[in-house]
Amino acid sequence: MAYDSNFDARSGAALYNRIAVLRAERGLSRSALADALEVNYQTVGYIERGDFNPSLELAFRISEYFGLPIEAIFSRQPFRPLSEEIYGNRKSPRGGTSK
Amino acid sequence: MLRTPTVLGISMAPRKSRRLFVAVTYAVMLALTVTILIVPPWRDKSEGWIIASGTFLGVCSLVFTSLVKQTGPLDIHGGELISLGLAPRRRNQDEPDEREVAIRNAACFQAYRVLALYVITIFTAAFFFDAAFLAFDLRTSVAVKVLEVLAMPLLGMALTLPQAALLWAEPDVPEEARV
Repeated sequence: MAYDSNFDARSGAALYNRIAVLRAERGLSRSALADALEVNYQTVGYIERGDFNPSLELAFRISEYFGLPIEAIFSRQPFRPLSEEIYGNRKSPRGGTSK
Repeated sequence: MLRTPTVLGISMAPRKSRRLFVAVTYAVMLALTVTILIVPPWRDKSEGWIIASGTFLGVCSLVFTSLVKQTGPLDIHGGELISLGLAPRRRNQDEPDEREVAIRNAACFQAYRVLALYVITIFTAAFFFDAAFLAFDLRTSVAVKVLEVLAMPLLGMALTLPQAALLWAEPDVPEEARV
């Protein structure tokens, strides 16, 4: 187990994020993202896994880098899968609604 | 956080090897302390052990500080001095980022707590030693010697404990594959 210095994570205030998905969509390596954000590549891994909650300043840098609003990347509630968010309310070809 | 070079040809990237390194270092430190403690103070031989321990601590301090970024008591952010804070600059690879600063500070705080506990224990022991030596009319030099020896691990811990905590706790470096 890594050194637990994250007081928010320790108190149970977990922060969920979509960085791994966004990174995969853009074909970015952790190293490339880390270079762009000026952090260590391990820190990107820690943030992705929710083991470290970034500062507000770093969260905004991530948001600016991906060109998305901050709430599209970070949330206090677990994210639904993107496919479910996009296609969840569409009617299926057989007439029913897909969940 | 870790610079992960090799020590005596052994890679410090896996946590297992780092833990072994920390355990061996502290075992040697403890062994030296105990040796000095059991060498009778009226013999001159003990001075040699003290010099050996001091040298060992110095080497350990250098090695531990070289393994972990910016944790030495004399580490300064050179780049900040050069830029004088006039313009934003890119983070140097050797500088810790915000997560690394957080874990470094947490490790230093843990080390401080251990050191504080140790100092309290030494002073409490000194109080009782003093009373015992007076009561049994023992040589004061023995008491002084005991306290000197107990102070040596304090120096060792002050120089290496934050780094040791980080070396012990940080996960394997290859675990974070560059993908």
